[in-house]
Amino acid sequence: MSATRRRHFARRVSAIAWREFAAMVFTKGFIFGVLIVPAVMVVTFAVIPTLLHEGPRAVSGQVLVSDGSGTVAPAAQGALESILARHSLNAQELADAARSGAMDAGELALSAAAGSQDTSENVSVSFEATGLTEGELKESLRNGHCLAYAVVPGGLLDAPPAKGETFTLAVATWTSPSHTSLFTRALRAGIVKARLDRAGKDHAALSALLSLPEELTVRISEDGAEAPESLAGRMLVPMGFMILMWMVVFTGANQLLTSTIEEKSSKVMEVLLSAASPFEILVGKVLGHGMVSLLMLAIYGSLGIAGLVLAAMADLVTPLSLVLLVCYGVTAYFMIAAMMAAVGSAVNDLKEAQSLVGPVMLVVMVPLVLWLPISENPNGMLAVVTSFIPPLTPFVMILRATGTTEAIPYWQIPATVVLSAISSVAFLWIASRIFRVGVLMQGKTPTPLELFRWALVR
Amino acid sequence: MSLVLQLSGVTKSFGAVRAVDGVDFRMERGEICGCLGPNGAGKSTMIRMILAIIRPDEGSISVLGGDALDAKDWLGYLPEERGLYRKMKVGAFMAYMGRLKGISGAASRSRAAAFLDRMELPGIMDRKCSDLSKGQQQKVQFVSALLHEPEVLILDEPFSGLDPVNRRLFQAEVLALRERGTSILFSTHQMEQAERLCDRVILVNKGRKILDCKVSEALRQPGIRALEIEPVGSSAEAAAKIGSMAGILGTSTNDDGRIVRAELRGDADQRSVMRDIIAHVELRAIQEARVTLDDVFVHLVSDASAGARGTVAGRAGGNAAA
Repeated sequence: MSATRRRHFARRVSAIAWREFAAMVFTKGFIFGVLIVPAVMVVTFAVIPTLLHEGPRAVSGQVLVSDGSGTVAPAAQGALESILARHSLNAQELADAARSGAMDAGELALSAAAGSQDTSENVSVSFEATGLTEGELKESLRNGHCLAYAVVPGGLLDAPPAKGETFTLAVATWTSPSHTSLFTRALRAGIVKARLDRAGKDHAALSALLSLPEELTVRISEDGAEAPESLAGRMLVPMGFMILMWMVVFTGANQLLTSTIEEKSSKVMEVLLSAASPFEILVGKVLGHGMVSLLMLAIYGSLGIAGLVLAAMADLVTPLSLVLLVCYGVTAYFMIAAMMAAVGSAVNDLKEAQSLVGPVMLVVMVPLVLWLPISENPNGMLAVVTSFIPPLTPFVMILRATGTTEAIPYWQIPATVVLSAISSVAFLWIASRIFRVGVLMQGKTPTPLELFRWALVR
Repeated sequence: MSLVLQLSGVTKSFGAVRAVDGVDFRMERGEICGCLGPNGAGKSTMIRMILAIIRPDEGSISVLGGDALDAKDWLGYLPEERGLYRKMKVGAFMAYMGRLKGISGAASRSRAAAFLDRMELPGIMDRKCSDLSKGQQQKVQFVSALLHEPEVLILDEPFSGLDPVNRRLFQAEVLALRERGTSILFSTHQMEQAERLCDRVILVNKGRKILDCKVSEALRQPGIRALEIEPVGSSAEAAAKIGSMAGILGTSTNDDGRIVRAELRGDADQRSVMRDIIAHVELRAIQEARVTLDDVFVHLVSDASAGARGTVAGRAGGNAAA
């Protein structure tokens, strides 16, 4: 290409790219979609915990327990106090409790919802033994003399407990689910304690013996490096990177498809073709929408990192991860955008595009399906093979390379970056051949085979 | 006069269809040349090759003495199917088209404002393209093709859809451009426009050039004769009746539907045909018609379709040489 041609090429491509970028970014839709929606999400995430801080509704009163022996009520009272004490734990204590298995998921949720507020101040409940009949207990509940009542069959206190026996907990209709759950758990624990007491066993000693031990899992690589096991590091962070990349790539490529179809159907394309070659138009459009994608990547990426910093998890993202995100993101965009531009040039409206976009979408969806197996085994056969199949390469590699628990062979990163770059050029070249013929075609939608033939037209 | 456009043996096929078949064509600076031909004749393909949108399979194209791809900045183009960015403002569209053609946004805007004033569209630079009428959009697109003061202007059906007032405005602008030395190639089906504006015409049919000469020479084509008849009753009925008579190639009616025009076959005896018409059609007047480009077009295309390509091609070659 002569110097004059290069100059003309650069001028036309930059003019087209800027128009595409400006037409997308300086619109209310973009500002709302890309800037306001994340802002609303941030505000929402900030507000929801505050709202949840209100915790469960205050409750005060008696829970009457009829078990024939009078031993369940005091035991349930002790269990309730123990549960309420756990709800007052701070974040660090909660994390420790979760790790040690001292609290189940329901208790953790209740504790998280309650936050640092002392729940025992809101819950003032006493379990009282009673000799009333079930009918009298029901009457007492209906009259509001008690919060709830429980009827515990004697068989549940035997050792071993009678099979098939259940205890009944009756609550008023206005009782919140969290309070019902609280009463249930206190009664269950109380019945177990009463049963142990009746059998002459030391409940405290047995509980201590049955408590689950704490663990620390460490992954040791072939070269001896150690990394602590982390679900976030192993699966969630790579998925976050991949979803972010997938989202911005697909959004940009989809906008490119729409814009190409619009220009073709509104006959603007014919005007553009008089001023620039099909290749210049294609490159300009791809770059313009690529800049939109990069802007989105920067906005969403920054928000994600800010979120990790706030959650004290910033160490999960390394500078190398960010560099790879940009490298793989750019090449992934070029490949998918090239396919979308080729499809957009070949059809007359979005409806026609659906039949040709299907195969492209199938390719784009593959990384989402492969996320779990690749995260489970980032150096397995599936992961390695798919890493070298464009256009899957950048999506699979970002999953593998950003996991913090298992290193992948170093040579695979530069190799796949180069492969992705070469593939991007190849995809763009093939797309430009199809684009050149497609933008001038009218009439029926071409088949994928016809698109292939167009790529071979001189 | 210098050569601005030269096509030599240009051929282009799409699959089994030969859209352009060995076309030779030259255009001089400051010339208005009409590119005529029926639908599907290959005119658009030829124009697209001149604009370097597609490349010929065989032959060569020289625009302003060089490769067509290098000449894009000196070419202006108004396509048949108009297209504007609906949401874009006129000023922004002009600036964009100007930048593509190598002039700054500011220069494009000021030139566009002056052109639009001349086209009787002042003060629309801040309006969205979607807010303009069809005629206004056509003017905007015409102006956008002229912003960079092209040396060669290609107009594809520039007058279609325009009212008579605007048509005259366009024509005046086209003639003014010619005066300034712009070479204009325009493709049209409106023969009277071509006859009025063009210095030269080329006629293309089924991908091949079948006529290439000055307009005055085209109107002197041998064997092209026609009669004009003013019937007393319905001109449609009269046209149908005359069309079925021996020696008649085809009939048409003029714009107001009063006059029937009948083109004679090359071998028909004009006097006997006139006698037949007088005998069978009640009429007010009958006379020998002035030959128009329309007659030439119908005659040559019909001849070519009837398989007389060899004769016509010979004529085209002769005219081209002339």
